[in-house]
Amino acid sequence: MKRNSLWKKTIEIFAATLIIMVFWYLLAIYVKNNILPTPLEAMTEFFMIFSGILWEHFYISAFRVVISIIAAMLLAVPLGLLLGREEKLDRYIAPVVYLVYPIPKIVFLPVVFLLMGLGNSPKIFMIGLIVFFQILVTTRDASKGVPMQNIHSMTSLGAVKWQIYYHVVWPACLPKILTSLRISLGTAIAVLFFVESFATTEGLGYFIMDAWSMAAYSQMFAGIIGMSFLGLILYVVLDMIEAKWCRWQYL
Amino acid sequence: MINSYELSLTYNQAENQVDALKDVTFELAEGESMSIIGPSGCGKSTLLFIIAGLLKPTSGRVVIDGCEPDAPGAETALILQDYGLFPWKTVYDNASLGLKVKGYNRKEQQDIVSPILKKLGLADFVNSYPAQLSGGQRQRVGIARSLALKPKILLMDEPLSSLDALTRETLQHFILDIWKEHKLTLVLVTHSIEEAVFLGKKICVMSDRPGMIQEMIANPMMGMPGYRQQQEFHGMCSRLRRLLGVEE
Ligand SMILES: Nc1ncnc2c1ncn2[C@@H]1O[C@H](COP(=O)(O)OP(=O)(O)OP(=O)(O)O)[C@@H](O)[C@H]1O
Ligand SMILES: [Mg+2]
Repeated sequence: MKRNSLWKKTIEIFAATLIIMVFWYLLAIYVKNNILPTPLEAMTEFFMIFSGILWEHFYISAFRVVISIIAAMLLAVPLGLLLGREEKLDRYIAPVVYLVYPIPKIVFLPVVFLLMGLGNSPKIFMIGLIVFFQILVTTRDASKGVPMQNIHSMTSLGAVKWQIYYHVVWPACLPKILTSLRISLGTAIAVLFFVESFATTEGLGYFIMDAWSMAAYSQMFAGIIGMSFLGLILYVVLDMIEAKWCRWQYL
Repeated sequence: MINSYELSLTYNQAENQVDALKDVTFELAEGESMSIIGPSGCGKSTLLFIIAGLLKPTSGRVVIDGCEPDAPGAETALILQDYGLFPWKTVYDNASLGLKVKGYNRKEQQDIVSPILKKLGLADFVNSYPAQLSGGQRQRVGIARSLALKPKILLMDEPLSSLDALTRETLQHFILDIWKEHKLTLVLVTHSIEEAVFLGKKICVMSDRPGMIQEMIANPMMGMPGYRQQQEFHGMCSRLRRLLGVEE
């Protein structure tokens, strides 16, 4: 059954790709401008350069996104779970979180670049910072929503605090945490493009902007496909984690 | 032996205070059973939570075999209304959770839990999730989990309220058997008059908020074979009905 659903998913993705290609093709024919190459041209370019120059950029971008999401998750999830359950802690920290959350943190990019230089770290920091708050807020709300009865039932078995977190709070919140990760993924890739589009010579964002400045439109689209591909892979990975860890949700 | 002395509990919330229990005093001998019945919101669950050591009374105290209950799980097991099982754990993992929490290793868990699950007719469902079970099966998993801890005292909060009449009756007999076999001290909260009479050697009738003991009825015939069919059973039910203000 498991293999079946994986197979089904693959077919679905291919079918969806095909539909998008058809629309893209029609649009390209309609626009009739080399700014918008046909999907065939773009895909050919993509496969030609992927194992060559594109790969390095793809690799560095993937590295940046994955590290920032993992780091943000490792910090935000435990903190969110705690804030949702420990009222005292929450009373001090929640107001700060709610004040900072709506601030568009991307505007601090110049400051971050100035303070952290131009390497990988400011980019990872920027993506991580934005994603951190998304995960934190969702996790905290999920943790607050764990029914008191669940906690009582665990306490009545003689469980101590960490066991309650481990056996109840964490698994109860996991589906919502994964949802927040999925949403964060979209945000992370958008921010990735932004932070890579200047003051660097590595990454898909740079590659796309560079191709644009040289009017190499097929190449630019190869970069765009690369970025979509990156998102798709990470999305599928999250899906697989969910299917494995949250099986109870889909019975 | 459970002794409760003038238990009172007030819930303090931001704006309003709720007096949930007031001067609840009773005594329950070891191996005896007591059912608690009363209007909704009269503090039955609250009382059970205090006995389980999950809540501290505002005044008064509970003494179980000479000690105040503080760390739950040692001697008492609590079975809750709806949320007792964890939907993310399989039947087996749910049933062995109490032992796991207490630090038993895998082998020990298995040696204790497997026979219990088998006896409760759940052997074929060990790898199922609660969502894949019927209400009655789910409730049996909850009972299995509690029995695995070999408790002296079993506290149940409306364990059968969400079940159909047939399953409900079967499980009532089942609880009676367990009570007899394991010589447990049983405290059962229920909304059903028949269930209170069937499973309580003592029947504690509580009054509306703040919860006080309106009457403690002795029910000496409880547990005798065929009690449900006898005149005394129906007489007891009628008496309860009158006490609870249900018109006949
Ligand atoms: N955590 C809480 N905070 C504030 N008030 C509460 C809390 N829990 C219960 N109460 C109040 O205390 C009273 C007794 O509640 P309890 O749950 O013990 O009633 P109950 O007899 O078990 O009711 P039911 O038969 O409907 O389950 C109710 O009026 C309820 O509103
Ligand atoms: Mg209740």
